[in-house]
Amino acid sequence: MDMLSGAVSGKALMHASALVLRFGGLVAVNEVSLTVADREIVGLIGPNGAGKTSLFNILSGQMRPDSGSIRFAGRDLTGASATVCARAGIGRTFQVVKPLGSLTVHENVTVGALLHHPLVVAREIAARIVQRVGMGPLLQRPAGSLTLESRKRLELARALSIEPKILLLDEILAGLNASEVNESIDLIRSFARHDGLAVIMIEHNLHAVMSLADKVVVLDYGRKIAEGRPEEVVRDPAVIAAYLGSDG
Amino acid sequence: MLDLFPQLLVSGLLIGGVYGLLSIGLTLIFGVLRIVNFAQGEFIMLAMFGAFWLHALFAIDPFVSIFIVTPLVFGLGLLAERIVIKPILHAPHAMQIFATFGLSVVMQNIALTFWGPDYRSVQTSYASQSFIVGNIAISATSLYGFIVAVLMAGMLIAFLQFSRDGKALRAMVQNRYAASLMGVNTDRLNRLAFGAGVASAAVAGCILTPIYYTFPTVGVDLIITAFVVVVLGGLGSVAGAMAGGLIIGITQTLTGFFISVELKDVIALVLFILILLIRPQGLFGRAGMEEVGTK
Amino acid sequence: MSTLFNDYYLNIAVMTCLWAALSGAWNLMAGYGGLVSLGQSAFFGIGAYMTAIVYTKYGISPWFGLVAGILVTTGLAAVISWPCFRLRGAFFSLATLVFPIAMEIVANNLNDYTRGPSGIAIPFRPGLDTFIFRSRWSYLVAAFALMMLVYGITRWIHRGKLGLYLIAVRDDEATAASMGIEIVSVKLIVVMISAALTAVGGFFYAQYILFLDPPSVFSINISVQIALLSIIGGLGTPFGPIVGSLVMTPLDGVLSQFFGGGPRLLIYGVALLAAVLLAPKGIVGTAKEWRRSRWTC
Repeated sequence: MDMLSGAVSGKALMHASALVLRFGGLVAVNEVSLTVADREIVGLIGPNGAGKTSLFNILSGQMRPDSGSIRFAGRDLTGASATVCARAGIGRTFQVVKPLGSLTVHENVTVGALLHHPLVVAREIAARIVQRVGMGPLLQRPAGSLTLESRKRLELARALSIEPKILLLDEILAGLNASEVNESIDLIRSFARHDGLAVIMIEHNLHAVMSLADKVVVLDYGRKIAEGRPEEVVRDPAVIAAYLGSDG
Repeated sequence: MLDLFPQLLVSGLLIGGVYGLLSIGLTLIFGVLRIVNFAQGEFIMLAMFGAFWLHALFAIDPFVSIFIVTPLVFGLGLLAERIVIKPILHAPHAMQIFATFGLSVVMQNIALTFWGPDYRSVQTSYASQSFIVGNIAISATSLYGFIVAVLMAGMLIAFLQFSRDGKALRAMVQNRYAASLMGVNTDRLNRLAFGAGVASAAVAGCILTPIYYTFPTVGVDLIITAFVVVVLGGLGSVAGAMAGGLIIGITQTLTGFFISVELKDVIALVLFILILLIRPQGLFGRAGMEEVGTK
Repeated sequence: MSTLFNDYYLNIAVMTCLWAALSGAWNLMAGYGGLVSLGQSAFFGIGAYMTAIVYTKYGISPWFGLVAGILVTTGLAAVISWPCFRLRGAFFSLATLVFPIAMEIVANNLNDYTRGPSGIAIPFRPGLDTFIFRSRWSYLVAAFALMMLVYGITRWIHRGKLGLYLIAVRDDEATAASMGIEIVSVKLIVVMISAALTAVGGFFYAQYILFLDPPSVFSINISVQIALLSIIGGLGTPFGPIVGSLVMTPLDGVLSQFFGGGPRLLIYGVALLAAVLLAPKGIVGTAKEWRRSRWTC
């Protein structure tokens, strides 16, 4: 298992500073700062409603923060749109998996590959990615007809197709059975290592987080309450309290 | 010239009330069913013809014919909802558009086939009457129309605010899915919303009959105005539709007098583009609502 | 007697090609892009008027009118549609309804150029430079070429980069954005292509019918017909508009012998409703589904 210092190349790939997001009176993200190094896998955990997806939405450009800043790969991406973030190299999967139903699996992934390649090359690259996530035989299947597990794989393939430098995975393991989860863990680890991707993953599956993450960040009520190695964070009393709830 | 300003203001306000009423239906239907009813103008047109014929054949005053025409149009609305709307509630956008658009084409041309393209008008006995307040002349017909429009709008708002079904409808406007989870019978309420939406259009139609001309394609002009009002007031907001109607009414009247009669028709279109550019969610809408698809 | 008969059928053939082209242009925007425009007649009318004005008022060859028409419609389309893109689905469509109404008002009032409500009659001076022909066969060739041009462009877009991007934007804008697609650019491109092709149709119409006035070219019925053909044929497929026109245009020719305006449009409205409620995928779409279902056991 890689030590934290070993995985980190020492340079911050993404640095989010004091991000704040409000919905009316509710503060969804409350002064959250987060640093992700090159090739680092970060687990993002916390009880439901802690603001994890909102944080993702800010980082990948779906929403604009009310205050705070984001630097990514040397650029200031604060408040940048989703398109700009994607082009800068931020890949993202969504919690509610919605493939482009009118297109086939192959076409879904080709759309992303077209960002950096002409059509013919994009098609080949897309086919290769589909193979790598283990969906080779489903290449020509219409995306709308897939099972949940396949749709999650497709979601991953799509995020990868834009050749991101960082992958934001939003509960990509939710709804999968034990063997599917293990396959996915291996898949994510192989992509992170071989393609040199950084990863932030929102997960409720603590086993997955423990086995994959170099570092874990914990959110509760929109605030960061802990950060550190998985083994340490899991034993942190503040974290335990957050999960068990204050109603003893 | 400026001393005509109060007169124009009042005239604009009066017609604005009616605009508001005919837009409320559109915004209610959209808010609850998430469907833009392209045939809204045609329901108004049918009501106008209803009032016209009741007056021409039986000398029934248009304001009285409200009581006859509205239930009929309400029934027609329920029928339309069953046949045309319900099947396409979850269909792709294009199909939803053409369902109500097709309905509007059918209704327009039924009217055209049976009643011909001629412009009809209704002259009530009090058509030329007006009340003088200070140096403002208020046309009786417009005033009665305004009062009825505001009454109807008020009743609708009260219904939405206080009745059980009304609250359920408001819940659906906010979040359909959550509402259905809480046991709301969305099917029945869809029908109710659509019926209520076209019924308020019917009332507006009866009011307009003595003021405007009645002809089969009158719905096309009216729906554009209704749409501008709805966008101005804010999608899904009934109070917003009323406010928007008043503003549009006043703007139109002032433009028509101070600038040109031709421009009066175009001003609504210009306003529409401006609203989109400056504040797309309208006065009372929630930001992003105009971007809502089917949820 | 036989020439009259031929003439009648030739006219139907020409109109079938023209409608297929117009509907095909709309299909790009609405079928692939999900931008359901109800205001195509605005582009059609501008194309027709540009042609007519350039020729009758300035004596310049209508080919320049064609270029002018394309430039004006493309520019206007970009400017008008851009603020409307933030409206989703049906509200975008409602916004497009406004455009032809505005154009009709303009045409009725710019008497110096458009001769107002009385319209413009184009003098019959046959020649390639005027794009006016003695023989209907020449028109048929031109109309067929236009139809194939639209078909060709659609095929090229169909599963190419633009086509995939359009479908992505149509299906789910949020997902499209997260894949780096510039949504506004994609929408603008398809609207401009659609507008330009429709303007070409207007050019053809002006030089074929040799008369136009505001109601005939800006009428909402044109928009209805264009949409109907694609829906019946198959929205979002390259062949759909052609199939739709092959079915409906000759039928319309027959219908107009027996029915006047109101009843005929009523039949169209009912046909539209029936297509939407019963066969939303259209002829081509349903055939594809049927073929696909035969592969799976």
